Amino acid sequence: MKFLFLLLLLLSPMAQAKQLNEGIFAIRSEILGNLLAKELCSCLFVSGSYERFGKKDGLERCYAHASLPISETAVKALVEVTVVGENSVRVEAGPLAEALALKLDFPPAVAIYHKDQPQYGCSLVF
Amino acid sequence: MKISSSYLLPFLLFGVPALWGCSHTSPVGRNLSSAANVPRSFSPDVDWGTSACQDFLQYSLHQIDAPQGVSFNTDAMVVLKDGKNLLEFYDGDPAFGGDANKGLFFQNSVHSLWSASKTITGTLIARALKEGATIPLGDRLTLNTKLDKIFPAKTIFGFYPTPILPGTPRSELAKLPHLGDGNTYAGHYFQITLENLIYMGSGFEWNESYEAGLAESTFLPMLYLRSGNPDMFNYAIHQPIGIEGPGKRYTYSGGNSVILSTILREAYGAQAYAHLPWDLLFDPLDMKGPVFERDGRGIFIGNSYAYLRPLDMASFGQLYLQGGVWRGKQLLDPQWVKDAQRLSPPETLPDTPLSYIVEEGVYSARTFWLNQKVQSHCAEFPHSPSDMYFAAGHYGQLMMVLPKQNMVIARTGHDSEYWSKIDGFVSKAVACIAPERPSKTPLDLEPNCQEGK
Repeated sequence: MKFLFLLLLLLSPMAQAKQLNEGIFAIRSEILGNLLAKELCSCLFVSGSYERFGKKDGLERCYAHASLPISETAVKALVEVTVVGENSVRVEAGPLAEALALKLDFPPAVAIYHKDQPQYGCSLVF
Repeated sequence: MKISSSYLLPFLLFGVPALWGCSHTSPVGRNLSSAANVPRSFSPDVDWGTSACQDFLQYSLHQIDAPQGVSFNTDAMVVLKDGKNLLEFYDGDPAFGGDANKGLFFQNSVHSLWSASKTITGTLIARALKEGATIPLGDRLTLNTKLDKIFPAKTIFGFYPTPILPGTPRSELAKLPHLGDGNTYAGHYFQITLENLIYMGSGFEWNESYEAGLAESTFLPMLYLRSGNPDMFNYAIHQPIGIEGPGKRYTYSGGNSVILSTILREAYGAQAYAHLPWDLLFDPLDMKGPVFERDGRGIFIGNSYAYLRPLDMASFGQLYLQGGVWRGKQLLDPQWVKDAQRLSPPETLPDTPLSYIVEEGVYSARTFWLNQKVQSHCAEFPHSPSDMYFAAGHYGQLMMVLPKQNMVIARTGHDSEYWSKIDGFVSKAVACIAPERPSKTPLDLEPNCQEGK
């Protein structure tokens, strides 16, 4: 198993090595989870994707338009995004990451939309 | 031996996407090959069937299936010429050229401006200066107001730094005793002015990296980590001040914008500040539904998180095109608008290395990007008007002013490589919409600059 992963690593284009470090850093530093929670919250509730397209389609369209520091596919493999109620986004380690026993040690990231003051959009909750 | 996540993560990040990526569809542009397919939102005053216009539309409009870096993924676009709205495009609305099955944005959708928010924040400062705002002790806020007058050094640093006098030779500065927490050159703090912050020459060190160099980024922790997000001003103002001090180097910094945003709160008080962007700018321009997100202290996140409709982004550009006048009222000092089109002062200093300018970009004295020749560095967008100036945000949020063409372009999108496409985008827009006022005449071209060297 370890050999398989090492082989895949060796076959990976060298140019991606830097991105690899960036990705690992983004995840472990909690930046990725918080970034996703905040940006998806703003896309869904500030730009109106949730209201117009609903939870599932709205989220997919937001992913397609999001500015993510690592690939959308990798993001979806590593984290689970939940739209909570009509004003909140929660991001935590996804089942694939857990199944593979990855130590992703980041607490759930939560962003909320200020429904009563929509001019202030979304903010992270710490 | 246990397989560590160091081995698994590379596979997840690159192996899996590479495999799944095989199913990526080929680029699917919308059919704009004939004038008959031009959306109703495109003015009949323009002949969209010309080859120049077809070229512009094919290049600039949304192709959501195209991989990043291949197409110019436009979410929305508005083009004004001579004050008239000539083109509106929204990627989710078929009536405006969009695709209902894939798009996201409509006429009334606001879009994140990302770093173009810095220009909004700069313009809020301009409005405050024009309105005669005062700082807490009653002095009028001016471009020369010292940061220390608003946020005294002792309250910032917890001690009173020994002031460093302007003009102190670098050799003397190098002898200063090393202080922890980046405080060695804190004595420069007393010389930092409001204007230094506006033109990104405050002297605070900063790294605005988003996709590359994440670990070195100072910008990302401010936005997304507990160490920065709850109190962004505190994070920004505690960045080390470099040895050179204010006014000597241009450093693109969201931290400066957050400090500017906080200065506005000090000037107006928390109650008025809560609706200040609306009172000073959004409402006078009749903007619909603008959003300005705030940090944990209620400070507007002036570097990244203003949201506007593209129509309102265009109005913002039109305000500048009209010399700061809106419906007969002078909202901005005309000198501010002129200064928006001249270089940031540090970029004009004789000892500023050319390599530094090439690396950092050509920035204006008032929070815009420029397309001017600097020293021997040719205009960055060689086929675009040399007098254009624009606000730009991550992934291609653009508010562009083209004085010679009397045009404004507002564009939102999601392109990681948008910067390299600006020249094609603008030059094609001009060729289509203002062919009588071309981007470049032979007189505009300087020796060795024709190919954008």
